[in-house]
Amino acid sequence: MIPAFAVVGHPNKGKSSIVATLAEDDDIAIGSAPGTTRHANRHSFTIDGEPQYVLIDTPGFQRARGVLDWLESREGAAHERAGFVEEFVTEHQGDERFHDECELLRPIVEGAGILYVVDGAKPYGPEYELEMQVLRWTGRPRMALINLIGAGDYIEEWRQALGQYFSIVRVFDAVHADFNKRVALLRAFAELEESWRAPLERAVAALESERRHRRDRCAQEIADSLVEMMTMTERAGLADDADSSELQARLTQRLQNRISAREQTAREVVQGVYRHAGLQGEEDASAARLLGTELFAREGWELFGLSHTQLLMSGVVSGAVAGAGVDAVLGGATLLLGAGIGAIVGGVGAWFGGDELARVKVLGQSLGGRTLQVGPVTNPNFPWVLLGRALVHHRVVAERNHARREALSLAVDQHAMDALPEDARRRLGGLFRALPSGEPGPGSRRALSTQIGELLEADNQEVGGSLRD
Amino acid sequence: MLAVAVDIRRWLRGDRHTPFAERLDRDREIGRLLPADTDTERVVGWWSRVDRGKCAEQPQGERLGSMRRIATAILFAMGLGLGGSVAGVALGYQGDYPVNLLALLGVVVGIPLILLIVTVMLLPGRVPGLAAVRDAVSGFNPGRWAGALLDRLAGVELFAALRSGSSFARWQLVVFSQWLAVGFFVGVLGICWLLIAFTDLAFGWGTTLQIDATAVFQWFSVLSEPWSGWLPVAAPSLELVEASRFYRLQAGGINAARAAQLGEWWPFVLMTIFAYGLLPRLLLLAVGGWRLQAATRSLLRDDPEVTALLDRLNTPRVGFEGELESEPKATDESVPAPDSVAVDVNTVVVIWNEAISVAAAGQWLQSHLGAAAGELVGLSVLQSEAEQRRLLAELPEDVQRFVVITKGWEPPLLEFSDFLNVVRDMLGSSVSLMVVPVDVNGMSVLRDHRAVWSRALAHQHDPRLYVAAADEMSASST
Repeated sequence: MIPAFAVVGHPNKGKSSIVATLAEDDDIAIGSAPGTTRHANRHSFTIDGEPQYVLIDTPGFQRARGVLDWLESREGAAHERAGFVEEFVTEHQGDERFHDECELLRPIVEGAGILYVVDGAKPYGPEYELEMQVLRWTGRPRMALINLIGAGDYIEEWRQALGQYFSIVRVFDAVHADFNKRVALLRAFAELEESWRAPLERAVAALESERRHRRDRCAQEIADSLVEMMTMTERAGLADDADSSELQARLTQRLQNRISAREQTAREVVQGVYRHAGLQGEEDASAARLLGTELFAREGWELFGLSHTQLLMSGVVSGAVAGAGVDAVLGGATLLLGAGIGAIVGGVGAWFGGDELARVKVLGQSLGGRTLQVGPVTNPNFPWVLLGRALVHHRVVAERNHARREALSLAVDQHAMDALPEDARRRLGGLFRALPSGEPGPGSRRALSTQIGELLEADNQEVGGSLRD
Repeated sequence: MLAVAVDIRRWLRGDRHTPFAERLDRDREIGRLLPADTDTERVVGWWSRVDRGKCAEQPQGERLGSMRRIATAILFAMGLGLGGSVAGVALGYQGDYPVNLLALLGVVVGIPLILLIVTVMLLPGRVPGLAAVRDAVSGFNPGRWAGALLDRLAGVELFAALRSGSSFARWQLVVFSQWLAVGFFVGVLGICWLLIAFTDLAFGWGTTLQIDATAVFQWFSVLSEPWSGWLPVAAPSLELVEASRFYRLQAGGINAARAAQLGEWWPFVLMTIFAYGLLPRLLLLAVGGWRLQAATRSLLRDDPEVTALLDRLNTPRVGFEGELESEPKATDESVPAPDSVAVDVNTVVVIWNEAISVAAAGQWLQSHLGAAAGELVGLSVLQSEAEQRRLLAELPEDVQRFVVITKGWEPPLLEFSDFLNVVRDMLGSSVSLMVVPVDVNGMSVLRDHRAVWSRALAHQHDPRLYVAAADEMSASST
């Protein structure tokens, strides 16, 4: 039998938030008003369509006193109590007075385990005892989850009360729980009944594998978008007597628009990978806030790209490495002159190339006339800015919880690239330098994707800035 | 394969606009039906099953394939014409003096052989320095011209990626240029054969250098070594070499017998052009064609969109399938706030569910209102309805206001509504019922929380029911 878990409790204690978080579903209705959930809603976790376990979001208790009174009016031994609960549900089918109680108890009498949700940020009240007693009557395996809605801390108080009725009590902040906490909770579900262990372990393994796939998919998308954005050009015919500066401005704007659109597409893919597709609807309002600044705004470059010093060092190091290659080819006869010259050339290029955005060329046409080409963007800081923005965006999206319903936003208060390891910076620098000169081959693309994948893997490191919603 | 690869790549680029989740579902569903073949076969299998209707573009692959065949034929024909012309000029023979073998073989074999060696040397694109040389000379490569033309006509970017080391582009250019070269040598051989068959050609050798016939014989022997064993007629003898030396100043002195002897060179000439001109090109064409096939398959595998597709095809679809409930419509109906909440001796204050400590409630009223209520009672849902009724029945008969202090942080439940119904039933319709939600510190709850209570209690439809804030309460002088 597929494990099923009914998420029950008082209204407005975060039952739907917990389900939304575990089900990774932005579409589950979460409301501040009580009674947002009116029916038991089943959410099956599937691997290729095969259900592994089911979460059932239920309405909250409205008349626990009434249910308990009805149950206690039955005379019978302890082993008959579950039958009385079933009888209650059957008897009150269609009774509007106990609509919510029937909805939440029905999955339990059908065999679901119980996840009882309370709010640990608010004090315990004796009225909760009625609900816990009703749940104890069902005789089903049960676990209590202390959710945290707000700033208060009454966790210990709750632990002591819940410990009277539940063998497992866990604190689970539905809105802020990261992936590891969600997996840990799933493993805790398996402790409720031995026969549930195997399917839940399969689910955990699938989730962990999916997590890796998501990272790889995002790394590839970010790498592809970087390659495309770095190699984009805009061209238009230039009449002999035309003012090239006006056309250049127009083409530059067009190029910037295309690059921005590609960046947005990459973000949508990343959000889609993490099932935050619903955020796309908010993009107009949130995009500007999301990364603080527009892509081509200089202040954003200072936040997301390399600092002038980092850029200089990157140029020097990569120039020296290229020069050292020449030294090596010549068997060291140059006495490291190649490395020295390479370092100087790389450093000077990085220092003075930092202000120019894109290459502008006037090309001849085979049928006469001229063509003005703007792009690709050659500014050495540009790929770093793109990468910094992509990494920060990925971090926000990957760690964003599905119970959160407000628009994405973040503030970045330090260089996004400060936390980038030196060797990663060197390797990426080498890959970036080759980009504007032509579309890279599959090997270079793979190398870039792998490198970015490693950065995403080290997601717990400080990629850049403090994030806040 | 090229046609399929081109179409798949183009289609996948258009498919980028399909939402990711939709692509994931679609491709994994197909992926589960495909046999566990190689990546390329799985992609081709997917292509035959995927519904391309929505974002299908005009298939370009077939068109590109046709154009490639036409380009190949044109290059071959160009080579044929060029080879024929070169042979016609090189074998130009007015009867004044024999065709100089050294010049002929230098033009039709020597130069193409050098070009062939350069081509082979430049093939490994990763050797530092050679790539730059290759890029520099590739502008003169007719295969490159054909590739650029195809890119433009078919609207693809297969050859534009040459500089990136695209294996497909590199080998396609090799194949294109070898077709041209094969055409060239077929042309050369054809014209040679025609001139040999239908005109009287005489071959000799002449050089300004002081080289004797023995040395020249050794060179020719080395050249004819591959076939001299089984085709001796195509290997010149020392006598023939010695007899073939000529000086243009003596050209007029060749008699018919010697002219016939000089004609004996033709099998050597044809075999040399075949073995050192045509054969290497055919070999390179075969190798190029074989490598091109592999590169065409890689064209699919190496495409990032195809890599992503394979990931979608091969990775189990993990996720939730669930029922969604639409959020209930917010109601505008709400319980009004009272004009004033005065507490006096005719006011009963009930602390519901220990919203504040009953023991401290008197002090709470004093500190908030500076007055005491007529009665202060603690009630909760833990009490049965009968017990609640019994306690309410004990209240004085002249109660005018009934204030319920409740936990504002908790949602208003239906059992609270039940309690209010009991109160109304016991105290009559003239008594004002005021619900005062407080926070955990006994202070007024936030306006939003109070609004939740107001809306929830509106379902009571009780005209004398109010929701008040703790800081709106005051002591009454009456």
